[in-house]
Amino acid sequence: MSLLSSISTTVLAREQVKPEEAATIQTNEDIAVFERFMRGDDSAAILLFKKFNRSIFLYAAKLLGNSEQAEDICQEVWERVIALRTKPRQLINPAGFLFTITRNLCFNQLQVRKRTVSLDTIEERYLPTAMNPGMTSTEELVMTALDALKFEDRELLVLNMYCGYKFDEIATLLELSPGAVWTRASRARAKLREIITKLSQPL
Amino acid sequence: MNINNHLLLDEFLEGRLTPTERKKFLTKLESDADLRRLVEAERVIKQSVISDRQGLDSIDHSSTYSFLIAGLAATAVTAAASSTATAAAKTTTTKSFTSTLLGGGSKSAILSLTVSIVASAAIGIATYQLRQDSAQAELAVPTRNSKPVPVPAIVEPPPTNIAPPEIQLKKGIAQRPAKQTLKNDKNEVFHDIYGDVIESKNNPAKNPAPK
Repeated sequence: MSLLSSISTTVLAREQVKPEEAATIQTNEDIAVFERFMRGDDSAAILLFKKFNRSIFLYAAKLLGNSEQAEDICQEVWERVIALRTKPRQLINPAGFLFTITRNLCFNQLQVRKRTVSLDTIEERYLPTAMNPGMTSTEELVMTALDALKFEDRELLVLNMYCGYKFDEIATLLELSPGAVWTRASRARAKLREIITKLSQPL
Repeated sequence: MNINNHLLLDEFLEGRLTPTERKKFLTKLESDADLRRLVEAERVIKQSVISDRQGLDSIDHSSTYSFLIAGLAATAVTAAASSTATAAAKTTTTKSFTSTLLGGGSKSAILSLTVSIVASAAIGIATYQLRQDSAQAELAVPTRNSKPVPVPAIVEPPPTNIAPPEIQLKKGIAQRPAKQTLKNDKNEVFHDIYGDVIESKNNPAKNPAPK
């Protein structure tokens, strides 16, 4: 890529980024875009960003329960993607690769949290949360129930309900069989309903 | 039709069922109280998720985008600089450095020097733009939720006696004593540098106006 084009792309940074609406996994297309990126095509990187950044952000935000940290995670993911150019490699599942990086970074973040402070010592109002201030009590209840799910279950529901991926796409992302994803999602939803019922019952 | 299938529930709630399937589902829904509870719970979950997602979608990702662009620019510049530097190293080993500088030697070495200067300029521009963007972003995020409380005005009486400020003379420099004035309601009182009062020229009692 020429220097002039690299300078001109910086101007694009000022534009408002509009994420694409439908999140889909098209492995062959994604591989082609990734290869273009590896060869030095910056427009391919921007395509990848527009396609995946929103999903990565939502995924990280719901796993961490903190939108600021999710933003940091997103930047770290793209930093790692750019670093791939120095050590080019063949990717079979680019979307899966991006989500694996995000997942690992989220795990690290959660580990750091565990090491630094005990949740028991923090008052509830200081707990990290991505809830909107304008939420109704029912919505808060659902969010609390979602946060109470196991990491794996929450991850599945977030990918499905927030990122908009279908279950077969999630299976591709997580490199699991569609049947396993289907069963886990069913159980996770049942568990979510159960927690909501428990939380909504008067004490 | 398997009503325990959560995909079917999703399709019903999202209005994606065919008219025949929908009719069948509604018939079942009327007679099955458990299914009604299930559908209601799923509806509440979906609605809450949509509301939460809307809040998260409103977050601006321009800073991440700027970060990506700056990263891409930096890698491009580094790659260009390193490739030209390699080319320069190869050529300068064969020809002497002096001849290169005098123009009699490798043109690629001079070209590489030019490119590296341009490259560093590009990094500078990218960094500057990123800083500008982050500065704008910081400005564009007003976090104040409550109205600002007006500060009550403090009314202080005006000072009655104002002592003339002390002026230290520098050694060895001849200074003309400067006149300093103090407004005392009506009459102007002049002080010299040592604080002694000098009679005002404007004092009508001492200096009456010429008739």
